[in-house]
Amino acid sequence: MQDLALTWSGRALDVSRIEAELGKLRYMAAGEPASGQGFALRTSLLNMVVYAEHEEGGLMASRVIEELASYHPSRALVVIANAAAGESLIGAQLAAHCHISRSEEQTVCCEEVTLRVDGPAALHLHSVIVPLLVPDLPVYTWWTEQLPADTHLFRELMETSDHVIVDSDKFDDELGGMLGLARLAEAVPRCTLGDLNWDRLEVWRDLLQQQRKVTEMRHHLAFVESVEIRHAGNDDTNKPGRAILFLAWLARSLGWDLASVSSHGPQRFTLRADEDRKVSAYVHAVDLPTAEPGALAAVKISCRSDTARALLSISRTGDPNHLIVRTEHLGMANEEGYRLEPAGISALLMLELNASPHDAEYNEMLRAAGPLMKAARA
Amino acid sequence: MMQLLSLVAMEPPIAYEGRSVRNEKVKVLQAVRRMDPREVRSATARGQYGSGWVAGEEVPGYRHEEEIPERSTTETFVALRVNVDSWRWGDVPFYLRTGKRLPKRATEIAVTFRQVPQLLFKEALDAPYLEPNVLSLRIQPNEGISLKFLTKVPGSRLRVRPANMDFLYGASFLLQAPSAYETLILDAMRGDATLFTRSDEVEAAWEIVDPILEGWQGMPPPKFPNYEAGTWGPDEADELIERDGRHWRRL
Repeated sequence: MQDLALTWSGRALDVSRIEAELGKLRYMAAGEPASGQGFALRTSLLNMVVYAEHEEGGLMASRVIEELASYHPSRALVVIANAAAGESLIGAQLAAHCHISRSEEQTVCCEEVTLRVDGPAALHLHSVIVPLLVPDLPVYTWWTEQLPADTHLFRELMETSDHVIVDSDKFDDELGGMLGLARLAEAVPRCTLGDLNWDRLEVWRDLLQQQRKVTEMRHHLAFVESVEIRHAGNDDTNKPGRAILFLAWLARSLGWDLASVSSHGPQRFTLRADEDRKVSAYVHAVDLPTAEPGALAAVKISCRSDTARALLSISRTGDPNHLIVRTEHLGMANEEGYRLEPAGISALLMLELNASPHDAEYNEMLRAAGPLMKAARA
Repeated sequence: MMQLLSLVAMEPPIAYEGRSVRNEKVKVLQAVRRMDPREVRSATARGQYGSGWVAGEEVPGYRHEEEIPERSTTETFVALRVNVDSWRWGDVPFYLRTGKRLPKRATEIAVTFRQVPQLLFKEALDAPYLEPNVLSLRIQPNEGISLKFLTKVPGSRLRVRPANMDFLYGASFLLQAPSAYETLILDAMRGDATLFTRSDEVEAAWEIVDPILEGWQGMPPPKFPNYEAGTWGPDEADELIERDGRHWRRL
């Protein structure tokens, strides 16, 4: 990795100076002209904007960007904003994270610009970000903070971006935050949203989708009677967001009417599967020391048709990295184990960056899950 | 802008010397279709900036700049669609855009390539439309050339995403290029007129601009300011290009 620090700061952004310094970094990364290299071609796939309000958030983002550099050569702008500071002041620091391939013939680089923006300018970040974007490429913005009550800045960043990524697990009020995101998604339809908390459910969703491909289970899943979703937590740390998202996804996948949801207390719901059939759902916390609060602990789906009953469950075992998928039907039980790879922030962010910035799956989920989230908060 | 238009659209000159190059440039300007008042309404957009934020700094609107009258109707932004009625460029629109207090300072020519007649992987891609390839010639700052194209994402699924391959002239040689004026003064001393505008070229450029100015005079006065400093101009500029199913590049 090569670093070049700027000691510069000023009242306004000095774009030409930053671009000039980035040019020097590219020259250094390209190698010596005498060795036949030294032609500063840059390949970029995306612009990555990170919004943080504290130094630690910026450092964490910087580490993640470095890990992703070889997969997603990009220009990364890490913005550490402090709107509470009195006077506008902008400082910049530059770095290039370069990875050399095994054959040592190719170098993939990620340019990183860390911007410290103090004062009123921190509320008008588009004016700082837009001049530094690489033209023509999609803009992914990673919002590492809570969703603020005043969403003016968040919305402004949505208007500057193609895809904005949040982590609703960090929201103090997960469900309220997601409802706020749903409103923002409606207001700025050209920008899609992503959520690392949604990505944490990917393995669970994949396992359930696999069961839907099994002929017998596909038949039973058309007659779901009840769903129970357990998540890690207790009275002090009750984070039902992921479980509610999973329930909403399940309901949407199986064609239940999410608008028909009614609640019987904060954790029990009834949804209409079709005109004659209703599904009861129960979402609750269980004490699970091996998983972080909010993580899914188990999903149990009971099915009952006129002729048969069946049970499908996906649950954690004592091993935090192990899942069991159990099916019971026609008096026969089957169990299969799956390895659950720990998903760090880099891996989750990779899922977001691998997807098309126009992939609106999460936007659609938020829209569909609205009634369920409102019922869960009631 | 007319200089850039003529440079990008001209036919190859028979030699790199003043007369040949300037002859070809003039031909382009002579081939630009003159606008009638109705076309001025649909193919131009003008603007004047209000207050806003640029590069992290709050800036006043044009009418509050020093020595500017409070009711000034001077344009600080213009966007145009022009047609060059020549054998080569008959059905290719040229979009020109320039303005003050935009988010960044950049002078570029972007050549957007046509869609191919048939998208072989359309069904697999699940997309009716693919972003076109774009070749950008960056004049200033950071002289260079970049090519944006779609590339397949590694893996068994057929997914594509844009990639940008960028050649930065200054970063490749790290030598201080002479400024534009240094080059011109040296050319003048050498008697090389290639980079200087010939009088017939200037006249041809005004023949394009005059009908636009006359057309604007015949239209109701615009409601200025109509764009915020630090943005890419008024909504009318977006509408101008979006009517043709296109959009301005993100610079």
